[in-house]
Amino acid sequence: MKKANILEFVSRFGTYMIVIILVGLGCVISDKFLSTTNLINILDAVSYLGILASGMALVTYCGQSVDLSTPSTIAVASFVSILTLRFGMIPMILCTLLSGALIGLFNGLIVGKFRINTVVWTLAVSFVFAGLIRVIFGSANIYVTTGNTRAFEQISRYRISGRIPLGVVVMVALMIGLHIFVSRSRIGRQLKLVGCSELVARYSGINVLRIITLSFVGSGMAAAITGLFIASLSKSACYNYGTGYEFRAITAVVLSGMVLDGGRGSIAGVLGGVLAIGLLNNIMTLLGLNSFLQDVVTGIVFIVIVWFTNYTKTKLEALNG
Amino acid sequence: MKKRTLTSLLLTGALAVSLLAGCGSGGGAASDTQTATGTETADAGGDNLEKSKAIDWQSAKDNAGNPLFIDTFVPDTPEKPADPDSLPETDELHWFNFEYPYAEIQKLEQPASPADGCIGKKLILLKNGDHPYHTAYIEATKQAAEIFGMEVEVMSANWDVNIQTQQVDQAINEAPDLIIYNPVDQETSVTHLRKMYDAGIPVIGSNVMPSNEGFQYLLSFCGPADWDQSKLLAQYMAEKAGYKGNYCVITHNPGGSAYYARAYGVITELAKIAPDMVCLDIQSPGTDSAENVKQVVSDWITKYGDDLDVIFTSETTVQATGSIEACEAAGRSDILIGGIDNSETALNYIKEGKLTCATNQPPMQDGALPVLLAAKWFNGETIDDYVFMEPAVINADNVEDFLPAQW
Repeated sequence: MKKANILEFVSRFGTYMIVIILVGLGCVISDKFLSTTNLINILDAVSYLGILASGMALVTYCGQSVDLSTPSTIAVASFVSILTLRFGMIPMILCTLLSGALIGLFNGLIVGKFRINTVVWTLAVSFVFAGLIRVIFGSANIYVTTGNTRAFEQISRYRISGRIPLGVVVMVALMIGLHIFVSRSRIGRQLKLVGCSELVARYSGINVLRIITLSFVGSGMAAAITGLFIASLSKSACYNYGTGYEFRAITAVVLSGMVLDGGRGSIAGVLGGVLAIGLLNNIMTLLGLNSFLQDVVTGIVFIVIVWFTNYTKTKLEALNG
Repeated sequence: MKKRTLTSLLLTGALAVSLLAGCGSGGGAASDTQTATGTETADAGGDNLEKSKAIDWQSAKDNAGNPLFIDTFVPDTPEKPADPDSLPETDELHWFNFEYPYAEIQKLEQPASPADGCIGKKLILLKNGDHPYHTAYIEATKQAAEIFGMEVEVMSANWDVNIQTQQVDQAINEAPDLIIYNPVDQETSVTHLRKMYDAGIPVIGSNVMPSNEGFQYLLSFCGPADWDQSKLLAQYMAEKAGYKGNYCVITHNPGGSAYYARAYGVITELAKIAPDMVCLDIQSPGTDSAENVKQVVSDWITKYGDDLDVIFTSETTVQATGSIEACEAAGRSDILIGGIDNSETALNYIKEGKLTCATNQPPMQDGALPVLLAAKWFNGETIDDYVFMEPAVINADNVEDFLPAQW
């Protein structure tokens, strides 16, 4: 029983243990590590990733593995944001969120209704939208030229009290909101049950299709917010702006202790996973490791965490009978 | 049963949309053909040659009204050192095999020019992938082909070497008069070039260099003078920095010739003209995410503090944006940032005073150049083995000359 408690503790708070270890390591390697500027930089660097990962975590938590359509959703959102800016900031934000929600709705309905493999389906959707963008815009950048361009650019540049980037505030607020939603609300409990066993959830009277669709809509909207920030930062939109983000988001979700089969983990853990990535990258650059070695280290950490998560899950299942 | 039918219909629909999207996008095995419309089609014998030679290509303009065909140069190759690897990385001759990959290549016998005129000839452009730069490149290739009365078919590999391998076979099967080849991957390029050579199709390499061995199969190679523009960037930035201070370099993506050229062109030149300038770090955060670049530069600022004076970027969209944003967030407007190429982002930053300089690597002229060489070859003229676009520095004083941007 004692062993089970230890394993349960590690599986729930393992990410934050990694964060504490990395903070300790950072303090050892650089006296500037704990400076406010550096800590804010770390948060700033992973804020877009954190927003994306928090949405993708809903899909994972719901037992639907991962949402690989996010790169294209990011790209679509970046185009929508720039194209609708002429109608004003609020309509632009609404349209951008709507674009992500619609892609999520499409994914959720198809995956939920027809039980198509999530990875295959979302990857196909990603190709479709990436292709459509290139058909329409010819692989060219589009730039912010009309509407309130200054306000648009400030989305990614504004700092609250001159210090804390808006992206960080959005990421933390989103994580807190989603954590409360997932852990306290009825729908949150239904998400967990669907993630644990769809069959049980269905027999319990839960509308599984609605829950799965909701998780994808959440993921799509989070990807759209990420796309909006990226478009603001780059002052442009391009079909490849979301490239690579999906795998970093999956890394963050897995680091958080979530199991890709669903039903385990927490959004607070995702924050830990995102922080771990930010700290790891920061420390490796401070150490002067080149980008290739950084990839190797990140990959090794990812493998170890995936192994450890599966190990604790198996052990816990065995101990709990 | 009804559910299964519906699922099948949906999947079929999705697949059809995917295929349509892919075909039109240049992703996958995308191809796009343009036939010459503005000029006469080929006719027999010397008449066609005379008409081809009479084409006024010199007055052609790009979308900004600048000459479509710009000044080029044929590089001088220095004597190769006995063992380049034994030299320090800050010595430009250490990179001899990278900067002059064609220097020791004994070219294989090339197909003889038909010398019957360029009008009516068919070209296939094997493009490496989609990117705003390459969109402008392709546009210019088509424009130039139209000027010379040639037909051009574009196949884009979307950065997938396996797709490019299939497209090489497809291009050979179509038996064009000439292929313009932009490799996705240097290592695989030699296999592609050997196939095209064995098929007897003349090939002009463009934009990205093939592997050293691959040069033996090429009729000619043309493109940006990556090493030269890196050195030019280094010279300008060193002058602005007063030939002192420390710098960091952000590389281009590994796998292409730009990776070494745009990093070590800067480093070797600075070692020569500004030995007091010290390279603090080199990183490769990629060219896809400004956020990744911002993180690297923020970490540099944390690590090196006031010791960091200059940042060199290997491109000017994502990398320049990430660098500028990181410096602004840290209140380090004193750090000089210079980058290679001339995107609209770069030109705007130069106008705003946030980017010290960029280099002129115009995609339209890059895309038009291999067509010009092909036309000359079809007309029986001798073309150089290696032709590069003359680089230039774009700064606050001359940025207006380069507007509007091509991409």
